[in-house]
Order: sequence, then structure tokens, then C-alpha cells
Amino acid sequence: MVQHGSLPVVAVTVFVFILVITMAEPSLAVFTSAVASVVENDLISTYLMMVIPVSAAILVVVSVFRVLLGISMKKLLMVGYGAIIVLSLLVPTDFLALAYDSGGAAAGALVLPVILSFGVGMSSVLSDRTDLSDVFGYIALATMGPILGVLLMGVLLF
Amino acid sequence: MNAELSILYDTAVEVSLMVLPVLAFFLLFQFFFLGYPRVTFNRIMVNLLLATLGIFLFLGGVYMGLMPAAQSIGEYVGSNLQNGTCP
Repeated sequence: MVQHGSLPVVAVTVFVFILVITMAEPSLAVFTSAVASVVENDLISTYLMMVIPVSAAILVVVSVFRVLLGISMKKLLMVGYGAIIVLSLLVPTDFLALAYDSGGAAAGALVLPVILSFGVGMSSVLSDRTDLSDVFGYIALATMGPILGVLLMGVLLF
Repeated sequence: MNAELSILYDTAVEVSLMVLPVLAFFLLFQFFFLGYPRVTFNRIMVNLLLATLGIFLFLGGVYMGLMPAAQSIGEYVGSNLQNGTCP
């Protein structure tokens, strides 16, 4: 049913779509401006502005592949949050609060309706999927992505 | 008054920079993949404009009203805690 030649096209389309939507997210603008007003290092808010949309988009692509390939939500959440816990032990403490906050900042007034409708639309076309976990759960990964991304940024760059 | 106008101007610039990629994405997708009928496409564009206006109004209100208000509430609570007079 899923043609494998179309998977890269799907991945690129979803990635770009979620990327542009997350970059237009008002909560993210508020969050990065608040960070810029408090933190002296200008680089951090600029990096946040790029890292949060990219990581959210990557994790939504992962989520789409999860539905297409039938991987269980449980596995993905365990792997993702396992990685988050391990990274939390390594990261400088300044980034710990920023990382978990950025997860909330990524799912705001614009991203939430768009990703929810995207999930509803995708599952309505894949007619053999009636499981609720195929319709929802994109937001879960879209908030997990920025946490992972910002933690990684803190570990690798600072 | 002048400060508020400059905040509004900055917000307008910020919002248009935020929404331009979304517009570009919809235009590209319309031309290459979706091919909506003209009426549907026009409706999408009008509603994108509405959403843009909404984001502009929201961010303007947040920057000018809510954030300073919340910050001063935080300062009030913090200073009272420091003096040991918090109710």
C-alpha cells in the first residue's frame, strides 16, 4: 500500500511544511525574545530560533514514518524520553530549563491546530488505520523534538 | 505612545518574516502538487491573511500589555518575598 519510492518525497514535504509552520509560531517568537532579553550571549537565542523548528520538524517526520511503518508509540516514547533523561545528566544546568521550556514553546496557537489537522487528514486517507494513536501523538513528538534538540545543542556546543 | 508604535512596527516586520515561508510553501505546493481550484486557493490565501493578522494582533498585545504586566507582577512577588512581607 505504501510505495517505497514515495517515502523520501513524503519526508521532505512533511519536514518543510512543519518547519515553516513552526518558524511562524507566535509562542516561539515570545520565548526566543524572552530568552534574548535575559541571556547576555546573543548566540543562544539565535540558535534556539533555528534548533527548535528543525528538531520539531524532524520528529514529526519520524512520527509520520511511525504511522506508515506501524511502529508502536510506546517504543518511540521510551527511546525518545530515555535519550532525554541521559542527555539531561550530561548537559550544563542552564540548558536544562531552556530545553524543557522549548518543548512547550514549540506547540502553541499555530502549530497545534495545523499538526492536529495534518494527523486527522493523514489517518482519514490511510483507511485501514482507525487507531487513535495514528491520529494523535504528533504533538507529543513535536514537543519531544525541541527538548532533544536543545539538550543536544547544549551538550555539543556549550 | 511613540514607543508603542515602534513595538507595533517591529512586530509587523517580525510577523511578516515569520509568515513569508508559509506563504512560499503554499504557493510552491499549489503549483507543483496540490493544484486546488482557483476559488479554493483564493480562500486559502484570504484565510492565511486572517491568520497573519491574528498573529500580529496577538503578538502586539502580548509584547505591549501582557509581558510587562506579568513581569511587574513577578517583580512585586519577588520584592515582597525578599522583604519577608508576602501575604
